[in-house]
Amino acid sequence: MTATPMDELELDIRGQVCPSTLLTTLKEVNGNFDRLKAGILRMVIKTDARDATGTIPPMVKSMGFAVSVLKEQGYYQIVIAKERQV
Amino acid sequence: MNDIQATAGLGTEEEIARLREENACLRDWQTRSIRYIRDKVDQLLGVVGTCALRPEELDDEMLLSLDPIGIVSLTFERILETLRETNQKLAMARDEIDAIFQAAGNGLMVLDSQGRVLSYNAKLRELFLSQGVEIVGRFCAGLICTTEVRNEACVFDRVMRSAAAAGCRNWKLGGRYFDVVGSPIKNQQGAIEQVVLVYNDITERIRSEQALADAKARLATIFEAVPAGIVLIDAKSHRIVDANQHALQMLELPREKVFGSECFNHICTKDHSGCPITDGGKSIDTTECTLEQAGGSSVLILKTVVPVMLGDRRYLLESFLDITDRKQAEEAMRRALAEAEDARGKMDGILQSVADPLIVTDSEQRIVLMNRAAEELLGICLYNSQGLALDQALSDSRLLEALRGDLTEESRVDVALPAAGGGELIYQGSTSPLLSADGFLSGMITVLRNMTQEREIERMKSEFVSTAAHELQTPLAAIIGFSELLLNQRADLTPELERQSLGYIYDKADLLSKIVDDLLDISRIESGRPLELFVTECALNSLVEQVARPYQNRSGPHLFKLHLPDKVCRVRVDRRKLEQILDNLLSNAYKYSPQGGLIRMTVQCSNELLKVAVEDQGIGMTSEQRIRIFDKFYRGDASNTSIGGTGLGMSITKHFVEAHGGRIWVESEPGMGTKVSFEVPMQPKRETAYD
Repeated sequence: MTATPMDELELDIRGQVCPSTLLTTLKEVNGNFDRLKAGILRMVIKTDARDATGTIPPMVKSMGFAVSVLKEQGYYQIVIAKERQV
Repeated sequence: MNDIQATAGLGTEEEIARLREENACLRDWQTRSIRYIRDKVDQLLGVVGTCALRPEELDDEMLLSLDPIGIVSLTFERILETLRETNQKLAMARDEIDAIFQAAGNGLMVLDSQGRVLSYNAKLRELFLSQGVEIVGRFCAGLICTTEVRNEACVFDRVMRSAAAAGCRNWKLGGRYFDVVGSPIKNQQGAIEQVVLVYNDITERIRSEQALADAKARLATIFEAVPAGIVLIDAKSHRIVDANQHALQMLELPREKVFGSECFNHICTKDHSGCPITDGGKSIDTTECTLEQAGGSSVLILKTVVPVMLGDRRYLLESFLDITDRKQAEEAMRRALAEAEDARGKMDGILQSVADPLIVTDSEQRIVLMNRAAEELLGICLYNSQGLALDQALSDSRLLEALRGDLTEESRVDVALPAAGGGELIYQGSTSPLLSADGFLSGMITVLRNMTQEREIERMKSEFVSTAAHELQTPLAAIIGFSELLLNQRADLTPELERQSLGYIYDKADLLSKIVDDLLDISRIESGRPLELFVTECALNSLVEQVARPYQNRSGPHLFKLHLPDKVCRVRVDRRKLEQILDNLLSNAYKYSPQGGLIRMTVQCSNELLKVAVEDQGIGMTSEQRIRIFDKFYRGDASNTSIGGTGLGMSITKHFVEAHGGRIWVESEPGMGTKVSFEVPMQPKRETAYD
């Protein structure tokens, strides 16, 4: 199986708090919905708003995407893709 | 804006007031719009479970430019779209699960938490339900299992009690066996809402396991009960991994000493180069070798090695039998066979040495044995006729009738069989019962003895006795008659008649003497002793003339001519026997010649041979008479008693000629007369007496 070349879109919204983090993220997800669904793009959201890790993932999952949350130094990295990214 | 320009003509203050009012209205409208938007956004955010949007976080201008309602509503569209897709997938998955549920090879039943049946599949119906029975909505207790079984091992109860999967193995119901597994389906609160029961019919597996166990038990029983040693050997290491009790007994070792030891420590210890074990069982062979017992004894065994695969490992199954007794029996059998063969050879030799045809038949009158003489007589060979019934082997009905009629007891019977050269041969069949060792009749031995010659001799002897009596009676009657005449009436007789009577008595007594001489001569010949010749040198012509004189002087109807050699011949012979030869030939010529017939005697001599021929013009002889003329007691025409003779003359003559080293022959045809010739050496080769 050959891996499909995948673009990565990074969205750094550190400094924002909920719910603007959610709205900003949803705006980007909606704007890139087709590419995300085709599996050729993944989004990496960087946020330091802890609440965002409780709002973004459920919404994005409801849209049919796989979401993972990684705790980085001083922020959270939320990865959105068609399938779960390791 | 148009409204503002329209009102520009009014007073400025009024206009400003109006504008202020209008501006206030607009600000109020904007404020309310913004508030409305924020309320709606907050409502939407509340739906998605997040906190309200604070103004300091997003001012009004940014709120308008960001369009959170648009964002959230578009998100909701996306979510709804995803939900539709998910629902479609769920519907398909439900259909798939339902198909799997129905097609599953196991019985499946779903119960609610109360034990009511929610659904079940076709296999469960097949396993447990009668046609037409519907159980959905009913409590399962009593539907599938009986109350007793339920109390004993109800998987549903166990699942409900443990709130976890539970199972029951080898659950027996109605003669069948099941593995039953129950799994709970819990709600989000962890409460059991449904229980899925899976019934796996393992009856065939259980039966197969039982059959396998039975087969193993049988195999183990056979393994131990078989009266042969059996050891299982690892093909690679040649070490014994199993052995039956018989093998341990033969090895005289306990199990622990045998297991793990190399087979060559016990079997084929000295030389196992040709053992199939050495090539890993590639060759399957049965060989004789020795087994070393722990006690030091060697046992002769017959072993067979075959390769077997147990799992993925190769073994050699070696079985062996103690053949000591068998070898001894074989040796005894071999000796017995050799003795039997020897006895058979002797018997066959005896059988073949019996000159008479001999046939051995069994109790069913089938041919068992026969000798060569029997083969030649019956025209069959033993190879083709052995085992055949007599009536299948013999075509001559007379012989068959004679043999079959007397095969039950000792008997003798004559049967006439056609001779190869014509005529008949008389065989006497003598049968004797052949008894088995236990005294039962197992067959018959029949000896066919050619009695043709004996019967002929008997017949000729009978004729001879009759003829001899007649021959003796005739001169005796004359002697007695003339003796009585001389005794009683001698005074009345003239001297001439008296002399004539005495002459008759002398002649007849002389005739009697010759007859007695003939009988004595034939008796000597028959005794098998060589004839004694009393050889002397004789003047041939005077000897012949002396013999012929009585015939020349005899007054009668015959003409007699004698031809003698011109020169003087002296011959060395037994004078009396030569006289007897000549007298016999002349006597026969006279007896069988007709009236007026010429009798010619011709005598010739050379340096080596004396040859004499006597020919007559008599009745002659047939070819059979010619062949048998020299047989003793044979008379050409025995029925004609007017012609005297004992039937011994020509036989004696032949013997006398041959005793001199000569030969005699006859030329004759019926009605054409007979010529008898003989020749003897002038000097006999054998002289048994003095000169």
